[in-house]
Parts: sequence; C-alpha cells; structure tokens
Amino acid sequence: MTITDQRPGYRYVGTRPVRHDGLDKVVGKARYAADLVLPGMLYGHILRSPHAHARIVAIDTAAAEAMPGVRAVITGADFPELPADDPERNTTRNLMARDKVLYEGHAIAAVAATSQRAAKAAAKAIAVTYEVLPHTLDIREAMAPGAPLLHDDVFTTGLDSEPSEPSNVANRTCYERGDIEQGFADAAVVVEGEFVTKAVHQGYIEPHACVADTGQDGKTVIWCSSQGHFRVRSQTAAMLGWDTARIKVIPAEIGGGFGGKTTIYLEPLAVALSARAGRPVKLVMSREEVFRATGPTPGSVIRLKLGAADDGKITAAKAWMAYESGAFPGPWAMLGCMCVISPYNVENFLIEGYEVVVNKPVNVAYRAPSAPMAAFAADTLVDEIARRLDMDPIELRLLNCPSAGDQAPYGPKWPRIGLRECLEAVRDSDHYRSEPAPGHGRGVASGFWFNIGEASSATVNLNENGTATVVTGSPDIGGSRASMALMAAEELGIDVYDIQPVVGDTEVVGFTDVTEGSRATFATGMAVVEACRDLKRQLCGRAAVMWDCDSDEVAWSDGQATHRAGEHEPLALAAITAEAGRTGGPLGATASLNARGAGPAFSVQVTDVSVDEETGRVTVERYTTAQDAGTAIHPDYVEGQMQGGVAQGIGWALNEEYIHDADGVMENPGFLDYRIPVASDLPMIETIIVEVPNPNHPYGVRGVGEVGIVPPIPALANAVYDATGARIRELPLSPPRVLAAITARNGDGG
Amino acid sequence: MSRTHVRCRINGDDAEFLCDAGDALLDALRDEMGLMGAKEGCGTGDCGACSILMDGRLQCSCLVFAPEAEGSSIVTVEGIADGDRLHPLQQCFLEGAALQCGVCTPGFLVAAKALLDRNPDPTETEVRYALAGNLCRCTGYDKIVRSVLAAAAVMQQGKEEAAR
Amino acid sequence: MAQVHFSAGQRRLTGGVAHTDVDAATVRELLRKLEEMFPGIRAHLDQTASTAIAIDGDIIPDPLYEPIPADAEVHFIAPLAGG
Repeated sequence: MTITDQRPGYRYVGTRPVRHDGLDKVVGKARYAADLVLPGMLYGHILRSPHAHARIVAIDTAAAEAMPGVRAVITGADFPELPADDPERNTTRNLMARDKVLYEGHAIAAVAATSQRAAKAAAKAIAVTYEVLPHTLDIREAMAPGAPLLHDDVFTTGLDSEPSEPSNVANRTCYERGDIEQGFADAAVVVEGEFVTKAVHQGYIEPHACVADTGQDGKTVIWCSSQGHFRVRSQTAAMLGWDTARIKVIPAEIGGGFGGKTTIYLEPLAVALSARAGRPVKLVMSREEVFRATGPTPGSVIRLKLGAADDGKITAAKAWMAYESGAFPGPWAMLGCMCVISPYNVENFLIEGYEVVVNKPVNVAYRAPSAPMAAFAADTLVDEIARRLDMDPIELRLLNCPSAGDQAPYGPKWPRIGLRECLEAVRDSDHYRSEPAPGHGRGVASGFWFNIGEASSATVNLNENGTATVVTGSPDIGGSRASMALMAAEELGIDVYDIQPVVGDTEVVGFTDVTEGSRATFATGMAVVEACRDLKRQLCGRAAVMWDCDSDEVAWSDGQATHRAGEHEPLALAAITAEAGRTGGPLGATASLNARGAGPAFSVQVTDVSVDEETGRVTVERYTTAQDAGTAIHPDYVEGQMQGGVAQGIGWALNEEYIHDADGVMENPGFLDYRIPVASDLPMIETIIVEVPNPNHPYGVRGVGEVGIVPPIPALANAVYDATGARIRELPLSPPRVLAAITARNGDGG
Repeated sequence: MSRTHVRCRINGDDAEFLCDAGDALLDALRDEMGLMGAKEGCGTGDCGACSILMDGRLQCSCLVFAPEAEGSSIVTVEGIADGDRLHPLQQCFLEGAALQCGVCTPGFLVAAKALLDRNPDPTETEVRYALAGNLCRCTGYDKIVRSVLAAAAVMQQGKEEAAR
Repeated sequence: MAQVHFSAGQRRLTGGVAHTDVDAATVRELLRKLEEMFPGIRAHLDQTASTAIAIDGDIIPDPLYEPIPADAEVHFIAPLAGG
C-alpha cells in the first residue's frame, strides 16, 4: 500500500520496471569480487590474533617465506606509521596490528602464494610471540577504574576538566534542554529502566573480497566489494602512504553491506602483497574471519527515565547511554544521544553519552547506526507510559509527535517530516484495526534516522540511437541503478529500458561519497537529475540549430523539443541525437554536487507475536511497517529496503548476539551459531509506503535504506510483554531469556 | 600429490576436471570449470549460496568433496534456463523484485527449483521451510517467497495449457 | 545576525552560554568571531572529524566556506555516520 501526500503525475517515477542488472543476477553471470580471476593471480591469507589483547613481542616470518609457492609476506612493519592526528590512523592500525593486538581476529601478517592452501600453510608457519594482557569485553567493566586499558593515548574528551589519566572512555557527549527537575516534578507517571544490548553483525552474505594488481609503474588496480570505492581509494592510499593517483578502484557487484562495507579491511594488504610479488593477489575472507575481524555494531547499556503528565504528554527525559566502539573509538554514543527521544517532543531533557573501547572488532555502521538500541529503551518506556495511563500507544505517540518547526533534541528545527503520517497509517491499517489472535501479543514502536546528503557525481551520455548511459559513483546495494534510470527517464522523457545505468570506477566518474546514510537515491539521484537538465538545455540548443532558430524559441517537454510558436513539428530525442554529429558533436553532461537538504526518516511498526510458555520461543505472527520514503522512485525496492530492515531488526531482537568465552574469543563465528532469520522464521512483512515529499529533492526523495531497522526491537519487546506480562530489557529475546522472564513473572505471582 | 580426474555431467554437458581429494565441489565448479554462479557465503553449509542439484538432490556444494561428483549429473544456476528462455523462477524473481544484492539469488533459484520439481504446488509454509537452508540478508524473504509461489502458478498454468 | 546554538557538551567552552547572535556571512567568519568571544573554542569546533554544522536545519558535514543566510539558525552538532 502507498499513502501519498500529494505529488505530480509522473510517467516513470513510481513504476516498477525489472531492474537493469537483474538478468545477470538470475543467470549467475553477475560478477562479485571473489569471482574475478586474473592471469598469474596469487592467493592471499591473513594471520590473525588468537588473543583478545596482547603485546606483540616478535614476529618471525622466515619459515613462511621459505615455504614452496610463497611469493610475499607482509606485517605491520611494511606500512608507514601515521601521525596521531591523522583521521585514518586507527583504520591502518585496525587493518594490521602494530605493537599490540586489540581483539581476537586482529590481523598480524599476510601471505601471498600460488594456491590458497599454500598461503594458509605459510600463514600458519609465521611465529608470533605474544605477551598476553588482561582484556575487557563489557562496557560497565571497561568503564570501571582499574580496567585493562586498550590505549595509553586515549583520554576522555568532552569532560568538564581535562583528564590526567588515559581511559577506555573515549568521549562524553551531552544534550540538555529545559529544566528536568521541574519536568519530572510535573509528571504524573515516571518510568525508568536499564537496557542492555549485545554486539551484532551486519551479516551480509558475501564475505569481504578483493583483487589487487600492482604494475611495475607503481600503479595498482583494485577490484573490490565495497559501499564506496572512492573511500577504498583514499583509505588504501593513506595506509600505503601512496598518492591516490596511483590507485584505481573498480567496484564489483556487492553482495550486501548494510554499513559493514563502508570501511576497508583487505585492500591495502592485497596491494602491498601484489607490489612485493609482482603479480595480482586475491584476498577473500572466510565467514569466520568476517565475524571475528569485521563489522559488529555496538553493544550498549542505556539507562532511561521518562516522565509524563496524566494526559500523556511527556514532560521529561533523562538518559545515560554507553556504547561499545570496539578496539578504537567511534561516534556511536553521540549518534545514540541524538536519536533516543527524537520521535517525541520533550521540553526538558538531559542526555549523556559515553563511547567505550573494548577488546572486540572495531565497530562499523549498521543501518541507522546506534538508533535501534536507543529506540529499544525509549519505545519500551513509552509503551509502559501508555499502559500506566491506559492510553492507546499510537494516540500517545501522536500526542507527543514533532512536526515541522519543532526543535529536534539534537538542536535544529525539524523540516517537514512524516512521522505523524506514519503513525496515522499504522493506526488506520487493517493490521492495527484488527484484534490480535487469541494468545498473541501486540507491540508498536517508532524510529528515527537522519538520512544524509554528501558528495555525488553523475555523467549522462546520449547515444546516437537516442538511448542514454547514466554513470554514477554510487555502488548499488539495493536497486539504486534502477532508481537512477527511472529519474533519468522521467527527466529525458525516454523509456526506462533505453537507459543503461552504470556504476563507474574511480577514473571514469567524479568523486562520490560512500553509499551510506540512505543517500544514494537522494544525493546521487540529484546529480543524475541535474545532468539530465543540462542535457535538456543542450538538446533544445541542437533543435534550434536544426530548425535554424534561436534556442529561446525551443522548449523541452515529454521527451521532445517543441517550437514555442509551433512553427516546427516537435523533434524527439532520438531525432536530435541522430544529428548530433552535425549540430555540434556528442551530447553529454556531468553534474557533481554536495547534496543538501536530506529529509529525516521515520518508521512506525506494529507486530503480533506468540510466545511458547514452555520453551520461551517467540514467533512473529504478523508484521506491518509504515515508513516515510518522501517519494518512492521504485516502490519494489523501497518495500525491499523496508522489509529487509525489519527482518534484520527481528534477528537482532530475537536471536543475534556476539558470544565470547572467558579468554575473549568469539564462540559463535558462523551462521550455525550466529543465527540470522531464515524464511521459516518470518511472516510476510506488510509495507505501507508513506510519501511526504522532501522539498529539497527534485522528486521528493528522502532515502529509505536505514530507518526500517530502528523500531523492530522495541516493537517485539512490547509485543512479548503484551503476550506474557514479562518486561525484558536485555537482548536478545532468545528462548532461555524469555523463559527465565516468564518464570520470574510467575514467581512474582504475575 | 597426484590429482583426481573426475568425469560428470554439468548442466547437460559432459565435463571433466582435476581436483585434490580434499577440495570442495564448489571450488572445483568455480576454479576448474569457471562456473561462478554458485557463491561461497560460509563454507560450512549454513547459508545455501552454493546450492546445486546433484542427481536431482539439493546440495550445498561447499560440503561435497569434488571427487564425489564422479559419474553424477550436476545442475547449477547457469543451467536452469532453457537456452535463452528463462526458467519461470528466474522470470518471477526478476518481476517480483526478489533480489537486492543478488549474491544469495543463485542458491535460492536452485533450492526453489528443487522444491518445485518435487512439489509443483507448494503452500507458503512449504516454500518457507524448503528455503530455510538459504540465507538472504537483504529482502526479509517476503518477495522471494511470493516469487516462488508465482513461478509455481505460472508453471501449473503452463502444464494445464499444454494438456489442453 | 545568525543565531548560534551550543549543545550542553559545547557549553563548557562558552562559559555556559547556550546561544548567541553573531554577524557572520560564512562559517569561516563565524568561527573567527566565536574564537574572539570564546577563546579556545575554534580548536574544538574546527575539527571536521568532531563537528558538523546545521544551518537552518540542513546538516553540512564539512562547512568551512559555507555561506550563512541572514537570521539563520546555526547549531554545532556531531558529524553523522550512516549504514
């Protein structure tokens, strides 16, 4: 279902053509990074730390280098040490440990050999002497005085006074408004709780992979799986100490990212091995390496207190939010602080955030990073308020709903947003208006994510037969090529299948930021539209040449040049491109821009669950999600993003977690034990696309990739409470935990 | 170490390759036969991205030793279409937007074909359980399940028309 | 005059001032004037890795040369990351 605010009639935007890259993907021809084979190619393997925290005393590679088939061995010593203030310093120290290993799986050395087997055997023959250090994996433990220290050069920033001792707490963030004492004094209901979540992985099905081919001219070509090949280029250059001009990055098809492929792991290692061996080198991670060395999104501990007046108006919020960042500091607590109460207008609040390093892989974005944990706390407590006041949970949210001109908790005033429309869409849905089946529990939750703009480039070339090639720098992780083609078709007035959308490498298209923050269709789409509008001006000029009139006399409408005074028959685009050679040469246009005015995203979701009281197993019986897309360019892939986000949120809520043993070694680094949802775990996921156009985009796009993962955790937790009467404030809601909560409830006489 | 010579049929053609005793069939298909459709998502039989049909049976090719293929008949995603004519599953996956990143798609198509070959008119629940060995992280399975059901309907209709 | 707002965390650099009016045509000029008002603040705000700016609600990641419209509302906020 689509609920549209109001929008002009489009011919292509909002239709559902088969995606241009689809055929290759259903016949097995689409080429992912691991599928590339080059003549003379070597296979690489990375040696990783077995310890969660240890000093590297010595690395001896002599035996490995002497083994048959081995062509290159590298360690941290082969890369330059970046200055302390270099923004990529931690990236380079994550890719290859220097003096210390900071988590189990931290890379120590890499080998290239003539076969995968030889590379593996050689890596095993590298002798590393460690001095094992005490480790810390838990936020509260890492924050405590006397905890094992990961870095002696990390001092807490954002404190009132400069600290004199290093700490695992990298940063303190604070947002404050109004008078929270008064706010709580005005409250008729006060609810509070501590919420705990574990590190979880993005879980893309394609492991990280790349091939690097370094020539004797000192230049290298990298094929890789990445959400942003321009960032691969800059980060690889930083780690190698190379000029970026020496590096060309060709994006392969990407087998899922969800934020996890916004940074690099393999590329500089492959380049260094290739440079040393003088041959191309392929590096492909195993699934185990993916879990141990990449990705997870932070575990968190959040203490939240909310107060509400007896009419349901939220009067005060107080939050203490600590996020893990893994082995190096990140922005995660800060983001959590900015999101936690954003779906609500609250006049009085104090929100504090703490960023905590622990001995786990360096945290990376995962779809609306930091927001789901924050929503778990906020939307669980909002549900408690609704129950205490005997109010409908959606009516309570509508009462507290921000709209344009209200001030967001993180500072600026909200532009036009679609939260109210999402709440109303769920309230009015068949799902919400029906009673849950007997024994089923129902939960509602909302979620916010910023969406971002950033830099994008696009080149559009018209071919002599009247077709167009659209080249952008945004890797397509969820159907964005189809969206680009649809916007170009709408602009140029030619059939969407007459447009070939292409993701260009770093040497054929202008700089483009990473496909992240739900920005590709918004920002890169804006560049495509701008290039097409330039082309339309050029086409009018060419028509004027053909008609021997002034270009002011020509207008472009519906795919053809028309003479304003009607003195000539309209000229279709193909008629003009056919004559382009005679009227001035090829027709092409490029647009590069910093996209401004990203539209904030909101989603509201409702779910019905059943809970097996004997095993504690939660089954999702029904799920409906409403999300403000601004404008859905290709509704199939908007729905796909919404459904995918929900499914990941369900996995996070019910099953997924990093589990470590006493030595800090991950115990479940595979899909058997780190169980993501399978088809039989889920129902159909009903979607309601809400369209409140973003006024800052030519077609009203907001971006849809991320916010869908925010509401599922609290929606499910609220539904489990509705079904069982047990409030669970720690993830995952796995059978043992749910069973324990039910047992405790029974013990309480509940 | 001498390598094992394996003879089999792949996608209807006679095929032969050399492998080591411990090689996975997935690696033989990809590295020796150049059939890159089957993907390695885990190497432990948990994700189904490497699904193939071996003598009509659905297998994770990462769990099959390459020498076991001797004398067998193998179908990979490259062999599902009838020449230029896509299999109804492929067509329905395209029209139903059942793929996003596409890396799990070959495995899903093979697993869905295995299902429809033995159960041409499955229920939604039967589809979900038949595909439970294939992981997709992008779609939430909704459009995949709908597309398999749509393909089943198309194939049933085709049979009925052929029978008339 | 731009209305400049500071988050609670930033107010330790402004001696507790939560907002102030500054006559500045660009972010660069704004930062220079803020430094005169609150010595030491620029070193904190200047780091693109730690601060973005929202001008009338539009979040700009690397804003040094950005023009500031008259009477704009300016917030210094955390830079965003995304998945």
